Amino acid sequence: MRALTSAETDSELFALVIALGRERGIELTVAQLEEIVRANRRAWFERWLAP
Amino acid sequence: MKRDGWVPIRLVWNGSAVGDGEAFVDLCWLGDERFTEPFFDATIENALRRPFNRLFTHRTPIAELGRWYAASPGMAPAGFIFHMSRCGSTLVSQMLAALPENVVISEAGPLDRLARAKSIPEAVKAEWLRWMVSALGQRRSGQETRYFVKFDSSTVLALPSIRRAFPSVPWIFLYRNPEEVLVSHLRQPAPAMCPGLITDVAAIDAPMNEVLSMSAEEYAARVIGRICEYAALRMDECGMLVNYTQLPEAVWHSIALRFGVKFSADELVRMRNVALYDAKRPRQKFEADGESKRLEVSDAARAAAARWISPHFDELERIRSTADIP
Repeated sequence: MRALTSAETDSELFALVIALGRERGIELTVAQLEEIVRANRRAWFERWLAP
Repeated sequence: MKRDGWVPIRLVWNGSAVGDGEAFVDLCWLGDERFTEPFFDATIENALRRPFNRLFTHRTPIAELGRWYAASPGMAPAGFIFHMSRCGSTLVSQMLAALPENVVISEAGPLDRLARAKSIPEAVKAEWLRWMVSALGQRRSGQETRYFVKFDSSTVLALPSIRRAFPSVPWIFLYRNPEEVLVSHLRQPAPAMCPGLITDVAAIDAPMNEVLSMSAEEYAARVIGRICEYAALRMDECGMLVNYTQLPEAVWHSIALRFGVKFSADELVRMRNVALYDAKRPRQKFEADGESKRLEVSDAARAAAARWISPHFDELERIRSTADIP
């Protein structure tokens, strides 16, 4: 958890997440994680538009 | 679940309106970072830029805050800060936030939204308010010993709900010369001064078509006046009125006394240093602007302030002059 929360860049975080996922049998890609970040950002803006 | 380092940042309902359906709380990872920005939102915006918070979002039913509260109640608040807006309340909160021993939550959206939610039964709301205040007031670095909460100006209209949840927590209401406050809002209106933006409080008891026909001066003056009127009406044995002219000294005198806290000589130096700078723009030196605001006031603003704010300002002054604490 500490390593995840203290990651300074997206690429550092994505590498950690992909490695941790692999240890647990989950295959993730950078493209998938980038899409999650985009979706989160979109959802955040939409919440402000429709409180 | 262990929640150390997490902080609630938004209260949402899964229905179409506030209070409709089940309530949820969005959480953000803050770690051991302190709330040092002038407003809660600014600290959270910084945190949300971190890669972790951009990738991982966390939403939980509000009941989870109840379990968190039972397991880790956090610090009891030492004092609540209410205000009429543009009257020195950010200076007070920033002076308190200068000390690492203090946790200062300044206008936290999820807390203000909860306090003002009309559709939640009062007993439930009181419980949820205790949970939310507890979640926001968790120790993060370990050296915190005091906890203060500053609410949004409109939230004074929810004072009965807050007092019900925290009957023994002392509170203050800050206010300032009506024309100076009104001019500040005419220069740069707060959301509460724009018709229809803050919809969960009925600051003005008038139909929307009437509200929309009001001048900017009248609308803002009526909102500010209502806030002052309500604070005067709801003054009780835990409350204290503070005029802007009493700042900054009141922070370490009457406010400290009311909140039951004592500051060391070193802490006083650090707090006084904050008062040298603009509370909302901490990189700029503070410059008194009362006179320039009074010179700028238009005839319309002067008339609106006199009609809608000044009677309540005068009542606040009358109450303050008869209070025990100077």
